[in-house]
Amino acid sequence: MRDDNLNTKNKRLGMILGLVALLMFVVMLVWAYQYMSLPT
Amino acid sequence: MHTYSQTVTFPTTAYRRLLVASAAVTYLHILAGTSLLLHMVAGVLIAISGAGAWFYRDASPWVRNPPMIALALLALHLLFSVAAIQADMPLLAAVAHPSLAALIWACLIISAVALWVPDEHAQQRAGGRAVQQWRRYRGLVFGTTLSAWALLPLGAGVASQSAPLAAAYHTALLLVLLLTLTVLWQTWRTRRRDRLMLGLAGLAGGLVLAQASIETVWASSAQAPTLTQGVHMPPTIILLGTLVVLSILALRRPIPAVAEASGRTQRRAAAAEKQPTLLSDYISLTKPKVISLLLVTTLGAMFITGEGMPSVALVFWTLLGGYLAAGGAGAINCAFDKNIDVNMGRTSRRPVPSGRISPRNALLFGLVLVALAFAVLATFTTMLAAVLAMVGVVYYAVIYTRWLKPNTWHNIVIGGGAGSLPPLVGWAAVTGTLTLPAVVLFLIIFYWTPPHFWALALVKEKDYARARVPMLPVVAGSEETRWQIWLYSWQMFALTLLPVALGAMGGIYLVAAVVLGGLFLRDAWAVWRQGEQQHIWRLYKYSLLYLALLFAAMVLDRVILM
Repeated sequence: MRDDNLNTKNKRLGMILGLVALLMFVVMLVWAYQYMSLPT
Repeated sequence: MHTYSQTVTFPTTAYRRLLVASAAVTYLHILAGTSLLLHMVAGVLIAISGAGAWFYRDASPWVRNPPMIALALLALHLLFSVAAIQADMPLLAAVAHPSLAALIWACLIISAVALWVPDEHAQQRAGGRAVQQWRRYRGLVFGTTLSAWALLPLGAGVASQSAPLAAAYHTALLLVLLLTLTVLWQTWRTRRRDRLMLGLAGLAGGLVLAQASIETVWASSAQAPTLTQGVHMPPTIILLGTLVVLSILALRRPIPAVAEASGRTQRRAAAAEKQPTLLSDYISLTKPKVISLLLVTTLGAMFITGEGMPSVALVFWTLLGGYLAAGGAGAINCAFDKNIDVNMGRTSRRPVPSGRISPRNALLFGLVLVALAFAVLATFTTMLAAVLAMVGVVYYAVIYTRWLKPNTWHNIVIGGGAGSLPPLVGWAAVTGTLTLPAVVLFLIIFYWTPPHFWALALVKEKDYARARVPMLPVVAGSEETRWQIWLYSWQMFALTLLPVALGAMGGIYLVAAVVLGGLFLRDAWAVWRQGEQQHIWRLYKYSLLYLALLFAAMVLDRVILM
């Protein structure tokens, strides 16, 4: 029972962290895109 | 060209403008402002994750450490950005900015996957083949991930528009391509039932293949965006993310011990039961596996003559002629060697000793192939190439097979000259002459042959003794052979450095020759000092790979540094 709870909690934390990683991915894309669009 | 600091300061001014209603705002300002805002939001969330990990004391190290490392990296990242504005160090900062960001990102992914995927590490029993396989697989995936990450600083470094960095970037991309495809192949081989891992490996393979093909097309197009514009970054970041997930999965999921490892054994058993057809028998007379290595050396030589890229047609005709000549020589060898092959486990199943093809037919078949080879090479390449191929045929099929092999333990040393001719054929096909570097290629293979073949002779010593072939291990014993392998390996290693001394090869080849040769010497040392079957077998298998990679390095060196 305790294991199940821990598992659910971990998965939820993992999901949140995954979302942060996703946001960070978007940040890097936007940065790269902006880097590309700057006048050279 | 804009400097790096612009990409950092510009968003700040842009953001300020967004807040002032009267200022003129362009699309670029909105983009830069959005970027800065997102940076700040992500930064705060990463800080929270790092702090949260600190307090989640029960979590496993793989869950807990990465977010804390990410927080430290974030501080470093911020420091670099500020330094870039104040001291205007465009190159250093441009290299550090995306590489550090990618590391932070990787940390988040590692922790997230570790929270989701259970660690099955303890389920693998200690010892055994699957454990070794698993260890190698993990090393391969980690190495690939690291090389993919190295593409970011290298690619950003190209912003300085320096040619060596661009060359380094393209070499690295090629390396990542090869490694990723190896990962895909190994994933398929060892754990294809794991759909998630196979899918990720497939995705990584597709991504890197697409990126490499796009860059190849761009390389020949004037209108294409240059590397300085950062176009390579998004695909590299996605590739890196995929490989990071694969790495952590590789760490947590052992290779199943029995289920799939036996696939090859099953296939072998099935192949042994199946009767070979006449066609496959005739093809096997030409010894296709040996020839493929010979042709690699021919192909390599064609690219390094200094006369630029050979045409596709010339490459085709040379390789076809080379295959026919070497195949013909192989078939003649099979016809002559019937009495020896019958007595050896390794060769007794060949078509001639097993009676499926008569020695006369094998000889005829070989002679026809050789005649065709001469016609092809003389017509479509140069006469010198055709003549050299014929010298190789006579050398192998007559001098080695009839005279050296049954009579003297020098058979492998002198006979090695036959196997050393293919690069000369390739060289002559392109240039019509032979120069000093071509001779060096000949010598490298000449000195490579004894350690390579004596390793096989050591493993198959009993076979050769039974067939009364005076191979060195049979005549002089295992210890003397192992000592000779060690000596010849050093001579070979020294010779591989000669092209650099002659100015025919550059830095890429030098590094490859030293690294590959160092590994060769390590294996040869193990053979000499320890001499167990496993060491000998490893040297034999590595020697095949070594020769192919050495010639690949020559081609790479010439193509990139030309």
